[in-house]
Amino acid sequence: MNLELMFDKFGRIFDPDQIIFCEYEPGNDFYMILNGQVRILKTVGNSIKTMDLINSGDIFGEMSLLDGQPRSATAVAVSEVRTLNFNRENFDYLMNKTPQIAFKLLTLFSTRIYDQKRRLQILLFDDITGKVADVLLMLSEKQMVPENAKNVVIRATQEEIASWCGQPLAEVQKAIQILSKGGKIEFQPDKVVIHSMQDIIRTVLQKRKEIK
Amino acid sequence: MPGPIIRTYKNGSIVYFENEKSENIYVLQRGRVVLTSKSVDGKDELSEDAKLGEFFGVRSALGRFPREETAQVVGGASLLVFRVSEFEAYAIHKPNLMMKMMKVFSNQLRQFHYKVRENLGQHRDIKSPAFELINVGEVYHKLGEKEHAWYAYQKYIQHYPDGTYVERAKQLFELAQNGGDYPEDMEPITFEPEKKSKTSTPIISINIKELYQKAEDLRNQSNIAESIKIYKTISEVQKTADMEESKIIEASLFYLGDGLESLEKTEEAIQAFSSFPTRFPKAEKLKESIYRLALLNEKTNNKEKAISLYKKVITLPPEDDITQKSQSKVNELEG
Repeated sequence: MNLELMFDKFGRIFDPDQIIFCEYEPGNDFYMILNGQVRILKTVGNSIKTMDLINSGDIFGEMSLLDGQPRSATAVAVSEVRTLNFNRENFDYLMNKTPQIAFKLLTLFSTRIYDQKRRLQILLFDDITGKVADVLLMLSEKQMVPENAKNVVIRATQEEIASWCGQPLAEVQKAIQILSKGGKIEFQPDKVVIHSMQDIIRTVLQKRKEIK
Repeated sequence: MPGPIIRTYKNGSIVYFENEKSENIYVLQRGRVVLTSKSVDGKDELSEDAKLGEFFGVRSALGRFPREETAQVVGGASLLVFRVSEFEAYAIHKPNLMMKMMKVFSNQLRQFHYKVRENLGQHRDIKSPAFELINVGEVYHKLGEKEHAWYAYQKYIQHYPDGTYVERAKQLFELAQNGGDYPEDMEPITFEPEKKSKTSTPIISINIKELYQKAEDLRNQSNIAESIKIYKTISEVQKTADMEESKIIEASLFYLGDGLESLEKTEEAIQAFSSFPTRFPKAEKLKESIYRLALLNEKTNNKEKAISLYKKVITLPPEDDITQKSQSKVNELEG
């Protein structure tokens, strides 16, 4: 599969800082980055938050493709970005002529479903300390940290953890203090050090049991 | 590359445990496999049978995350086992299979996404994407990101040309386009459902009736050029609240054609009268508008078309002056 050859047919270029699509805009297409970087943003109240930075080989906008729902986030080109753009009309072409991309999309869906399910699991966790520990566990999973690792550094602020928990910052800070006092973690302005992954996993499992 | 292998399992064997990591993907060939998982909140246990001939264990293998369920054999089974690379080699020749999985996955993703938002108290968003779209534009505008704001306003206007906030969007769009800051005296945006015919009816009906009266006054003052502008606006309204409004729109389209004709805008007049029968097949002025269309066709030397239109007029009740005139025209033109 030569992606460059497909550029003639499906290519779209975006300038630095150009918006590719906007949160809540109706859409039925998705993009694969050939070169460049794209920022994924979401409005939170009166501010805009970066959710992700994605690079060549990545696919974005796939959620709107099959069900035509509005975009769930905004995508903005960071640098000049060259993309392949697929919509419902040329989706059959994609499936038949470039099944490798379709397969990649399938893989991507699998990962995204897991991410959302994990997120939901945290939101439904009935214990605030358990929630915070589970956020740390989830963030370490994303970094592919082995379960027996020690002194794992997770880049996240308290505000970010509160947003993952879907809880007020003050509540989350109390839980962070409990975990810190117990010696499980150490909080610095923009990062958390998890002393022992196994310890955090145990805390999460313990809290889950208590709820049952 | 070696293909998938067949494995047979005895009663009670575990194919895989929940939370285990593995890159195997399975197809049930024979027997029974029960998949047991926990609900997302961890409180309930859910179980279902793997279906014969269908894949299972796909998502966790492809996404390389821990198994979400335990797969246990009941009474013996034989399974086809693929590694991820083997599954890829197989699937890329089966676009229908990939499409089917993609639809299932896309749906699952959307459901989880929705539940996440619901738990964050954001489910209102999904109910009104139009409101949220303009709101995103305003957030960008307030933060000084005028180009991004401009984009969001433009998309709002494009997708919701009759939307509740379209005037607001147009105003802010122009500002953002000219590099203007978000106006400090702008009234904060408040959520209102998008216009539905019921809620908008009173506003539109007042407008239509008032506008029509204005157009009639202008026509009576022989200000045809101004009157047809209004008739045109009214004639473009698609939805009406009641019979009275429908009649006003019919009449406006007729007088638009009439006005255009008297201003010798023949082509445009033909266009107006041509659209009349399809838009208002039961209108009072149907017969007259077809007759006018026939006259205009005759005037532009479109003889055949004119004859067929006059003949059409003759078939329409009642038998009146127009019927007689049309009959004479047919005789004259065919004669």
